[in-house]
Amino acid sequence: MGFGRFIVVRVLNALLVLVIALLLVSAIFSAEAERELRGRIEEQITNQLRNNPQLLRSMTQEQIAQWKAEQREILYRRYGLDKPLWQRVLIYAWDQLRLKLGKSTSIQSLSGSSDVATIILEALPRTILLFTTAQIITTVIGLILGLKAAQSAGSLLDKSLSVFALLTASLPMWWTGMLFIIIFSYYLGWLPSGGMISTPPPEGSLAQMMDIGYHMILPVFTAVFVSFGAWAYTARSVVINQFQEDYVMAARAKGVPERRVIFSHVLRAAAPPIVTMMAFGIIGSLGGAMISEIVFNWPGMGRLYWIAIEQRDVPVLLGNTTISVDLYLLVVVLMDIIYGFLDPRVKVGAAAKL
Amino acid sequence: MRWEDLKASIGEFWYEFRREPSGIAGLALLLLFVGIAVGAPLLAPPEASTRWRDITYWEGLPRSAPPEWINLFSSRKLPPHLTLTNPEVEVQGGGAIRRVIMNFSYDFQYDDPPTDLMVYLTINLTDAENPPTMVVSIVRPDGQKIQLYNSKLRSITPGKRSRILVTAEDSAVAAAMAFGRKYETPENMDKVLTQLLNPLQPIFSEAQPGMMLKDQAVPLKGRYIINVQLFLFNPGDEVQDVRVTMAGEVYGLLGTDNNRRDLYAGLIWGTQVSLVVGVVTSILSTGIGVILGVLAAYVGGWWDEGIGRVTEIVASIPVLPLLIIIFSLWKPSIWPVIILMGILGWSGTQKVVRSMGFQLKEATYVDAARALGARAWWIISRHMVPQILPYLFASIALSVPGYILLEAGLSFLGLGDATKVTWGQILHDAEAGAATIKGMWWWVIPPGVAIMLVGLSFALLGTALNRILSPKMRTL
Amino acid sequence: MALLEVEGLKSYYLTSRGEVKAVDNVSFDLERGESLALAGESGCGKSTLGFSLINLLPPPGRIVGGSIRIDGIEVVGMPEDRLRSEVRWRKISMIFQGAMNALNPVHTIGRQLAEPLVFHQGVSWADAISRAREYLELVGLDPDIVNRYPHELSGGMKQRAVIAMALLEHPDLVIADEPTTALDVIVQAQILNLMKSLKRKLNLSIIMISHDLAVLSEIADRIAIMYAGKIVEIGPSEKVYGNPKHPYTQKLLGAIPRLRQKQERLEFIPGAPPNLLNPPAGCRFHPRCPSRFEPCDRREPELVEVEPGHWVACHLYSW
Ligand SMILES: Nc1ncnc2c1ncn2[C@@H]1O[C@H](COP(=O)(O)OP(=O)(O)OP(=O)(O)O)[C@@H](O)[C@H]1O
Ligand SMILES: [Mg+2]
Repeated sequence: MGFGRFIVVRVLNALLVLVIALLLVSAIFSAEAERELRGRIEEQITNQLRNNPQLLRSMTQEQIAQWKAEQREILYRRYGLDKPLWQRVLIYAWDQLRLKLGKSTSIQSLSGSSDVATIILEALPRTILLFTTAQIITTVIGLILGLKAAQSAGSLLDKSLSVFALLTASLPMWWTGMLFIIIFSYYLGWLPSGGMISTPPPEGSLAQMMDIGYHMILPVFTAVFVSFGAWAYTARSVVINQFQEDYVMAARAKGVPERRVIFSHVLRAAAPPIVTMMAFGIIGSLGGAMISEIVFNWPGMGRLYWIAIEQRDVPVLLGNTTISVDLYLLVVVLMDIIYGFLDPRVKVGAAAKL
Repeated sequence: MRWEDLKASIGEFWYEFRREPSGIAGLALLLLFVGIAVGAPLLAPPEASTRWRDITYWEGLPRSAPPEWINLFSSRKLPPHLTLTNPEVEVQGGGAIRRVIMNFSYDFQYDDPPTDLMVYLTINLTDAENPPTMVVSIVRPDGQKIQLYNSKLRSITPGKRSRILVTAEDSAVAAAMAFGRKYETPENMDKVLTQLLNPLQPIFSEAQPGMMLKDQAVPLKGRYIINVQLFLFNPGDEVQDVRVTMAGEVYGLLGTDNNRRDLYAGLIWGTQVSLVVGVVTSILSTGIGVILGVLAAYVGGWWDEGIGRVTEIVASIPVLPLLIIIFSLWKPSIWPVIILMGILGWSGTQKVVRSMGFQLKEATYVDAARALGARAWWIISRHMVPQILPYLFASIALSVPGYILLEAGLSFLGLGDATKVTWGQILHDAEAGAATIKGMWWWVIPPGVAIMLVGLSFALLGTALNRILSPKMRTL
Repeated sequence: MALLEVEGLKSYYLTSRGEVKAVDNVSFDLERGESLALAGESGCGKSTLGFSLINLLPPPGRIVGGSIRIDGIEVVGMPEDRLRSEVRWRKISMIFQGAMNALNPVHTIGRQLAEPLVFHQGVSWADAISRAREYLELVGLDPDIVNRYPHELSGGMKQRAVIAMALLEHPDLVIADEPTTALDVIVQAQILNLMKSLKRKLNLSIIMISHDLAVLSEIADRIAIMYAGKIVEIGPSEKVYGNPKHPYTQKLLGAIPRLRQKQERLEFIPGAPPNLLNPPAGCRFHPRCPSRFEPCDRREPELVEVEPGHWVACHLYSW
């Protein structure tokens, strides 16, 4: 299986997952929404009748029933309720797939639009900004510490890293955020307790960027604190395994400088398994990071979830879910591509089933 | 390995397990939590769970009170929430009008006055038109007596437990003002806002200028007598179980939230949900994974191919967004949460069990059994499952923390089972009540620590199991 | 002067449970162009001896005493950077036990072969790769596999590539640690023939490690038998193989099917090899020795020359 085929297979798999997820969501949603819509239509018809006393007086009881049925049919057709449920599910899923996300019921974007896509598009970059920043820092710290621990296996650093990883692994990121707000914001007063920018925002774009950076410190620190231990620990295990490989011994026997042994042999060979771990780590922390946004009042997708749930704004909920699923699968595919690129068994020639 | 060998190896396993300190620690921690979950009805009132969202149930407790033990760490002693029982009782008269006098003793050694005074009682009335009259007064250590309340109990329901919030009555405020006027300077009296005045403020302060003002008053420490008198007008009337609650500023072991709920009770009852969700989900998902793994390995061919594809799909399903949307459209409840998480979480186990199953299938004794005409079910249950079982336990233990975190996350988002208390829900309320920016650490810290410790106990147990069992797995 | 002189070499693994005396007081010489076979049961310290010669013991291994001179240069105690730039691969190279795993799966064959040239001789990558192509051809491979990854090669091809890698810098001595164990019989024979012809062509000295004595006798000039960290018998191939003196060697030869003579049944050496943490006193073989007698469990036998060039450490001959 060549690289190209590998990528195609992975992308197809992701698309399949996307379609299944959207169908599932649409099915649940349609069944729920249908009941609500029928109720609303009945109400509309009765209102029409009530607001038009002349019409009401001019008709017999039978005529009224017939008129109601006609109206009902017209409205059902307008809202697509005349089609069978499965068809509406398909239409709905198709809309979600094309990112036609509809209108929100109560939430509005900053610009006042109630277009769900616009609302989410406003939140998405903020989530990505926060998440990638935290992820990059976690990765760097995790790799460096993991390598150090692997090089001095059994040392104090190594042991305390294992303990730290074990302790932080069962720590909810969002709860840690709450804890840190109490410590660093409420008691010590060093950092803002939440938000993305001060009100009113400072003048000038540089000052604004600095201000955003200042607001990012605590959420990023929280995310890094919670995940770097586990990261370093996995990196450590992978690297320790590599150190025991014959080709590392061989590279040393060849008289190659130690730095090159570590970078070109150990780390390079450790890269594919580390990327696999990374994929799991990133996907795993994406959910936690979104929930953490709520705690930090960070106006991203997680915060949007919170508001949408509190206000029961179903179109926004659905749109947010669609975009989250997209984002999530994008990460999966991206990681697959990186993995495939790093592992010659995938990149070149006949890899076993992956 | 057969079942018989498995039995024999349990003894050996326990011998090895005892030498794993982290495993023992994990087990001890887990047993503690199981004990709390099982003993919850003894440790906290059952209503705390069933009526968690019913604010009337919690009315008697102080709002947003820190735990009592913070007094140990601060020089300023805050009054705890105290219910006085067993008064000295005296009954006078015996005809149409009886007078029941009850004296409750209250030892006041704090730097702030109590925030409220409440009387709880149950009265069986023979004539509902003619309820008793209640008089409540306080006798200070310096001997001064102040009457706070004197009124017919018209609002109570006969036969039911009622609460009279004495300090909320105008008479109490008027009495406090009158008492203050005797000693307080006119300037200070002008500063007092009657709507905001705690009537107990002057009553529990030294009788001197400044007593009406919270920041100037000097507390009068010593023994107070709360005198409750009831005048019963019908011969058949009965008074039962009268109590006086001096509402405080600190409460219990873990304090209260902004809806006056006892956080200790919430924490105790939340243990059940957390453990059940974690363990049941983990067993469910591991079980599905094992069945599909064994099936894929044993039958092989197209089955393996098909199950593999499904596993691949399940592995990349974004669980949290899906659960969010499902439970914001449907009414969230604990069993659907468990089932859905279980259905979405088995892919990892399936992959491992499948590869183990393939190795086992090649093993000679399986071949031999098959040659002897053993049925598939026999081979699977006698030869494959006992081998996979040890892995299973470690895998179940190791996947519990993830599910507990996931459930807590859902609850935190407000998608928790509304009929139960969970740690995630307590934290949801804390977030909604802005606990972090108000510094209400007692509301935030305990549930999170509990989540972490339960997760930790399973993680410790799982890694210890893995360490003991994995060398054996390698010899497969 | 011999190419390699080893004297009183001691290499221990300093584990938490104690010292594993994997190589204990070993001495031998090796001439230029000569090949020495090192045989013995699994765990007797053969690989440890091999790694000691390039002073690259896997932790917690350490050379704790003795001397190793290659071309008259002392290797024991030499600083790491000199070892790297002067000894490893330039004077002594190695073909690893399980050579399949000696190739890093993420780099092309060419890169891995060329690597030491670039770092030792400052050759450009392009030149180094073209040298690699020459040597791949020398070991009978298509030179174009420089661009291939290890997983694209068969076991035999990988083994040849590893041999080419070992020869690239014209070392004086090649240590081959069980170069053929993972291969099937036909490929094994091919590889051994290749090594034999390379040795002649390049005037190489070879130390060939194996527990398969029959294979060794085919290509080695001399054979050394190791038991529990010590050399118990060393001498010309045909003498040790044809007329083994040490009871252990005799048992060992009995324990393998001979290629030429027909063997009734495989003889099995009773007892387990000793625990090197705490080896038996006296002769280390005595607990398993069929002909042990009075001094064996007290005094350690020295190597004595029983016939020209044939040395044995056994009380049967030192008395
Ligand atoms: N890293 C290590 N730590 C501790 N002891 C070790 C280590 N490596 C090897 N040993 C011990 O040193 C002894 C010699 O090992 P060595 O690998 O040299 O044996 P060998 O003769 O090459 O065996 P084989 O034929 O199986 O390759 C063995 O008893 C082994 O247990
Ligand atoms: Mg070896």
